[in-house]
Amino acid sequence: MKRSWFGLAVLVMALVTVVACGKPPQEDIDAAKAALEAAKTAQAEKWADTDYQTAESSLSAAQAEVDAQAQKWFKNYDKAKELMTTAKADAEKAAAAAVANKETARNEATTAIADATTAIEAATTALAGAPKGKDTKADLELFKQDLDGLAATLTEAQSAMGSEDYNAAKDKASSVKEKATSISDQIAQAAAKRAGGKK
Amino acid sequence: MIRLPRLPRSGLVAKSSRGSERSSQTPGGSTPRRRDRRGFLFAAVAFLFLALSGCESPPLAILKGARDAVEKARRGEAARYAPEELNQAVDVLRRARRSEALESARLAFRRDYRETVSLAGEAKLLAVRSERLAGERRVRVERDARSEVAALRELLNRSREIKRFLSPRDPFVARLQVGAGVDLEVARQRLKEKDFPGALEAARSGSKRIHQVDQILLSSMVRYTAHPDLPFWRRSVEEAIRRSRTDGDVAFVVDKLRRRMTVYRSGKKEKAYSVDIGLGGMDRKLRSGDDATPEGLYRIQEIRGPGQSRYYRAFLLDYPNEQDRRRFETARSNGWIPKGAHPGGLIEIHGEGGRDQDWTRGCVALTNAEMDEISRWVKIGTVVAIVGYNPRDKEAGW
Repeated sequence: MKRSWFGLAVLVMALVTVVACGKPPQEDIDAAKAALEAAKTAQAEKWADTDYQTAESSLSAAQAEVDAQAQKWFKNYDKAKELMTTAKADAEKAAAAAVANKETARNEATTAIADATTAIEAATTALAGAPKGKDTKADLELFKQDLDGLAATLTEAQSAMGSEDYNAAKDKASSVKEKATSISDQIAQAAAKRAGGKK
Repeated sequence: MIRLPRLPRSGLVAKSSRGSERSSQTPGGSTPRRRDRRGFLFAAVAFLFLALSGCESPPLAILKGARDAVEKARRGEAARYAPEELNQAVDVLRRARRSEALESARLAFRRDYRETVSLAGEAKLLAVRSERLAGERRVRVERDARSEVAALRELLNRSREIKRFLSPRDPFVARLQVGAGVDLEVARQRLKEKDFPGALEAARSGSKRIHQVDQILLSSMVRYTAHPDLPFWRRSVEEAIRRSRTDGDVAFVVDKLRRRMTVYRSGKKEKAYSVDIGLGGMDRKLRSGDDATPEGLYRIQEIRGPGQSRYYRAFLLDYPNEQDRRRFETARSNGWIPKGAHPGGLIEIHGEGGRDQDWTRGCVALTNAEMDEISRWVKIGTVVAIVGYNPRDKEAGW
């Protein structure tokens, strides 16, 4: 009889030890935190703000579950593990979205700068071929000054690319392109008017 | 879940029950065993009641309220306009959720959600505050951005106008103005996209450029108002007015800096016109091809009516006069001008002007209607003083 009581006690103690000493899923926690850190490094806060907030929220909920289980006598980290996996996935999604969004912005800015460069070149060519005379000399000189100014502003847009301020670069380049195109149009109109006058 | 202890069935209980049966049995009353059982049941029910009445359910509605408030603040662009306040709300909400999770993990009768409720309430308050602040700041930033954009538009227009007078050929000024123009476009675009901080930033960048331009233009202006030729200009103007007074005739005074021509009759100011001058702007004409307008005292030596001039009407001046020739000779002997250059000629007051820019090769241009008007007063020999700056013109406003 004594023996059976002793066996039962040992069994209960073993069970309690096994259940009560369940360990937090440290690997999952570390992985989720590392994923969020990677998202931060990928500037997800700037380029994928909503996704980053979701990831942060997921990690916070998972951490709360880990903390809650740590308080229990009978710990069960299954849900915490699941939440950590979700948090990691959310962080990875945010990082991927940041990279993709940043790349899109970079491509758009690059295209805008290329378009603006082409527009300035076209306007410069048009200016070189514009009819010169007393009536047009002043206008041509102003166009030349404007084109020089636009080229300088385009350099600013290129500098903004260097500092990864793609939105500013794109906006400036788009405006430069618009103004350069306007100059080309005005030169073409003046040339057409002159040609019409000769008839 | 709370488990009720099983009813006692062991031999020990049975023994004691039996003992008490004998001593406490009453006619028509319950047996001791029954009384024990009742007592135990009563204790169990009381314990259950106490346990359940002491246990709380999680304040999920309050937490949801706080979460909704944070989401609403986010939708209200708190992340952009009140980031610190929003971050505080998010942090407190996180603490509230953690507190709820911790309490929910405890035994039912040990749960206490007071901290959770307090934190959730605080998070909600902070979120509402961040939303309100974001709203207020957005309105303020939008107002500032719109006002800055409007101011930049005016500054740019004024700056372009002044540049025309003071530094028409200055490439640095032109570059700054083009940059400010681009900033203005970017700011307008951002206003359309409701990116008010971005619009404000772009507009401020443009205004900064214009202020740089203003500094340059101001220094140019100071240069002209304290120019070494100022005594010569003053003498020329006074001489033109004196002759007008003496002859009872008209005299014209062209102020190159202000692009303004004043008509004096019998020594008194009659009228003033805006004029276009040579591409050389404020440069003083020295030789043919420099596109500058000459400075000095001249007379009209030929009058050409409609059909006789490419520029509607024209009054030919006697440029170069003796003084112009002397300046030219000095420049040539000093090697300041290319060999083979000559002083030029055919400087006129003519029509086809009103372009608000310097475009002539050295002539002074008015609109055709203005040429019609002044042609009534002009005769051969009418005096024309052309100066860099007319110190007697107080009505110009600057």
